[in-house]
Amino acid sequence: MTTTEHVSAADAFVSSYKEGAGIPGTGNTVTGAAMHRDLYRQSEDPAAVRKRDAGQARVLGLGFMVFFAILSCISFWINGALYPYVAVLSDLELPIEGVAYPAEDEPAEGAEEAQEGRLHEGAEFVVGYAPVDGREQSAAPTGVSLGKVVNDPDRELEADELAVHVSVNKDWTSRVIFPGNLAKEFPPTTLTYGSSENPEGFQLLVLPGRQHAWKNAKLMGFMPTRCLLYLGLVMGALGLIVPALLVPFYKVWMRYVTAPLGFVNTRIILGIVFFLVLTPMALIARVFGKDRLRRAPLPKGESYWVPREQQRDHRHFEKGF
Amino acid sequence: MSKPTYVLGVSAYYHDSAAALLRDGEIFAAAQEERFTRKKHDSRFPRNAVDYCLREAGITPADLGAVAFYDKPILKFERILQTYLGVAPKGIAQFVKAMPVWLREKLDTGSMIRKEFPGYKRKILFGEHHESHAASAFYPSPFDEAAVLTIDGVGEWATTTYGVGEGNKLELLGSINFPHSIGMLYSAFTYYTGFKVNSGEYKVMGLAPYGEPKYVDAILEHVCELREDGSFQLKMEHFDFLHGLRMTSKRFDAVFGGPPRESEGTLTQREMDLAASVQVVTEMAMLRMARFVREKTGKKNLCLAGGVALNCVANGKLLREKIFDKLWIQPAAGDAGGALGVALSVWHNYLQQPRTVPGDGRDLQRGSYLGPKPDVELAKAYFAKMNAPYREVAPEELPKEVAKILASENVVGLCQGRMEFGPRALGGRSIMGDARSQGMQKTMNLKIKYRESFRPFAPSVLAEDVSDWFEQETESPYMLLVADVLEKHRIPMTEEQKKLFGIEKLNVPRSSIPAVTHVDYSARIQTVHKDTNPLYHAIISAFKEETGCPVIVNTSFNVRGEPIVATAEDAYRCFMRTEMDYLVVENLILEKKAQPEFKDEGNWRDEFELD
Repeated sequence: MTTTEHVSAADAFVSSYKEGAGIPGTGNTVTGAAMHRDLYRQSEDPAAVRKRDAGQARVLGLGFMVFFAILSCISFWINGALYPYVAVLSDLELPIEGVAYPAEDEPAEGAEEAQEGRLHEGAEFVVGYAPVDGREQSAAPTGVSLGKVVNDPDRELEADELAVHVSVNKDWTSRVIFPGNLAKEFPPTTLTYGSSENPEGFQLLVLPGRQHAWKNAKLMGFMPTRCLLYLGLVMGALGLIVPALLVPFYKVWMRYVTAPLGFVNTRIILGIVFFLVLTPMALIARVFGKDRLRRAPLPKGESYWVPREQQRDHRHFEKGF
Repeated sequence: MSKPTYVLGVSAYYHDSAAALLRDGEIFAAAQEERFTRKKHDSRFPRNAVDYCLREAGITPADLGAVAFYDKPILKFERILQTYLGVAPKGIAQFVKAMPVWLREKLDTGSMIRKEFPGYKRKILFGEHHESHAASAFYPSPFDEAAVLTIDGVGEWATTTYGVGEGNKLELLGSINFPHSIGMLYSAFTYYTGFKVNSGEYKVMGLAPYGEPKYVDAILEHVCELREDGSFQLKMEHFDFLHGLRMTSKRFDAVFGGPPRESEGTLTQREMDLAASVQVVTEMAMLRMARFVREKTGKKNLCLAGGVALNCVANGKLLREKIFDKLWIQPAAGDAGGALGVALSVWHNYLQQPRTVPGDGRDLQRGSYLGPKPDVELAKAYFAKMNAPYREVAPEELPKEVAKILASENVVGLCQGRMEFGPRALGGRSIMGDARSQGMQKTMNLKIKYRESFRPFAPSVLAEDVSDWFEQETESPYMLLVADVLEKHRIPMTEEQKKLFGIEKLNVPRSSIPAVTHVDYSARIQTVHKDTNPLYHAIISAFKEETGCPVIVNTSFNVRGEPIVATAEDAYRCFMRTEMDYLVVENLILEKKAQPEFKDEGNWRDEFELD
C-alpha cells in the first residue's frame, strides 16, 4: 500500500534562489521587450492594463511615424540627387505625360501656345553629363548641374547660361536653363547629345529634380517611399488620437518581433560576456587554484566557520553592498 | 510632545515580500504581501502591506524617518557573479535566465524602492540579509543578552551566521558561506523527494516521522561533511544548483539509489527514509552549532531565525537538549521577518537607539498579531450583499457560544483581531476543531483542506495548561516548537498498527487528542495567552469548561494552496468553498446550513496550486 500525495511540480529551483525568472510573458531579456521600468509594478486590473497597453501602443505608433519619416527623407534625398546614376533619358517619368528628349536648337513653331506639353514653369531639372565611350554610356556622370524650366520665349539667355530644349510629343518643347558652370564646358552652339550613333558626343541626361523624387522615389528599388511616409503618418495619427486601435498591432509587434529579437539579442550579448569574458577569467582563476566558493575540503581539526572581521561602521546601511 | 519616529522595513523581490513598521522602536504593524494579493509567496513589492502599515499609523511616506530594505543587492550580485566565475564554462543556461532581471532592475533596487515612497526624501537604507534575520531574532526577544544563530538558504554570501546580542548591540561573529548551506541541503532533498522547492520543505519535515533515518551515514559521508563544531561543507559534485537548473546531480542519484521522484509520483518508503535522514542531519548540525555557539559566546539564551528555523521539529529537539537555558525563535523566521529585522536593525544600530526588555519573560512581538483587524462594518455590508444571514452575538457571550459549537464536533472558522505576521495561524485567522474527535482529522483533511495529508493538525492549548498535556514547560506562542503528548494521554499502537503505512497509520488514534498527535506522538504546539489574544483564550477556556479539555485543533484559515485569509470577505469565500460548519467574524456568527448558494468566480481548484 502506498500513499499518493498530490503535489505540484518539483520546480527547477532557478526561480527560487537565483532570482532570475522575471515576469512570464514579457520576455526575460537584457534588451528589447518588456517596456516597464519596474516589472514588478504590473497592475492586474483590466482597465489599468488597457490604459497601459494603449499608452504603449501610442508610443509605438509615434515611433513608427518618426522612423518612417526619417527613412523617407533619406530615400527622397537619394532618389533626387543620385537618380542620374541610374536613369537613362528615355526611361523617364516626367511630371507630365510623355517622354522628353532633347530637341533641336530651335524651338518648334508655336511652342509657346499651349501649356500642355510643356514642363511646369520653374520645375527643376538636374543634368548630368558624362563622356560616351564608343557605344557604351559611362556609368557615372562627371558633372551635375541644376537648372530650371523657363517657358517664356522672350527670356534671353545670358552669356554663361545654357538652354536645353526638352520637348514632349515632338510638338512642344520647353527650355531648361542651366547656369554658368555648364556653359563654360559646353558652348551652346556645340551642344549635342550623345547617342549610340554618335560616339564623339556627350550624353546629356536631363532629368527632373526634386519633384521627381517625390513621385518616383523608391526604397530598395520597389517600395514607393511616399506610401511609407503616409503609413507612418497614419500610425502616428492613430497613436495620438485613438491608440486603442493600435493595440492589436502593438501586441503582435511585441510578441512576434520584439520578443524574438530580445531573445536572440540577449543570448548573443550574454553569451559573449559569459564565454569570452567570464569563462577565461574563471579558467585562469582555476589554474591559480583560487576558489571563492571554498569547495576544497579542509584538513581535520580545522573549522569551516569563517570569522567575521571588524564589525562594520553603522553607516554601512547607506550602501547597497 | 515630539512626533514619533517611524522606521519602515521592506522585504521584496525574492520570496515572501512583507513590510514592517516601528514607531519609536516599538513594533507597530507588520504584514505579508501574499495575504493581500492572494498570491502565495508573492515576491512583488509589498505595495499593499506598506499601505496598510502607513494607514495603521495614519502617516504618509514623507513622515517616515527611515525606509530600509532587508538585503544588500550589490553584494548578492557579487556572489552570483563569483558563482559563475567558479563554474564557467558551465552555467550559461542559468546565467541567461538570471542576468536580465539583475541588469535591468535589481542592481537599481534603490530607485525602485524610492519610487514606491513618493514624498520620502531621505536615504534608502540596506541591511545585510543575515543581519536582518539576526535582528528579527534578537531584538523582539525577551532577552537582554543572547546568542544569535541564523540559518537559511542563502543571503548575500552567508548561509549560516552566529553572533551575540547585548542590549541594543548586535554583533555577528562568524558565518558559513555559499554554497555551503543547510537550507540548500534541505531544499535539495525536498527536490529529490519530489516536492516543490521553497514550499515543500515543511512537507518533508512532516514526512520524516514515517521513515527510518537510513541514509544519515550516506549523507554525512558523501554529501555533507559535518564537523564537531557544527561547521560543515557540502560536497558540490553532488549538487547542480551552482550551474544547472536542477538541485541535485547524477552523482547524488548514484549515492541515494535512483533519480529524483517525479511530482505526482507515488511516495514510497525511500522518500520517507530520505526525509527522516535529512531531518536527522539538520538536527545534528543545529545541535552542534548550538553547542559551539554556547561555548564561543557564553550566553545562556539563544535566538533563532532564518528559513531553517521554521523546522519546528529540530527546534523542539534543540530546546530539550538544554544546550541553552532559554530559546526564542522569530515567528516570521523566513524572509518576511527580514522586513521586521531590518527595521529593528536600523533603529538600534544605525540610529543607535537604546533597547529595553520588559523583563518579565514576555517578548516584544505581541503574539505576532501585527496585521489589520477585520472591518466589521465592511463585513456586514458584504454579507448583506451576498444575502448571507448572520447572528450578532454580544461579545461576552461569544466564547461560550463558540465553545458549544466546537464541542459538537463542528468545524469553525475564526477571523478576529489583528492578522498574524508569519506563516502560522495563531487564532486570528484559524480554523478550529475538537481535538478529541476521532473523525476530526479526516474531516478537516478531506472537507476543508481537500487533501490526504501525512501531517496531522496542530493544537492550540491554554498556556496555563500546556504541561498537563505535553512535554513542554515553557511557552510556545508561535507554533515553532514540537513536543510530545504526555504519556498519560497516549494510546499505544498495536504491532499491526505500527506496520501500517502513511495515511493509514495516521488514522490510528494515538492519544486522547488524536487530531493533533503525529505518528510519533509529537505535536506542534501553540500556547495561547490571555494578554495577547484574549478572545481566542476565552474561547478555549469556555471549551475547557464545557469539555475538560484545553486543547483544540488550530489549522490555518485558507483553502489549500492559497495564503491565509486576511479580510472577512476572504474568510467568507473560504467558508463557502469548503465544508466548514460555522464562520465567526469578530462577534458575528454564520451557519453554513443557512447560507445561500455561493457563486464562485473562477475555479479556485485550478487557480491555486496544490499545497
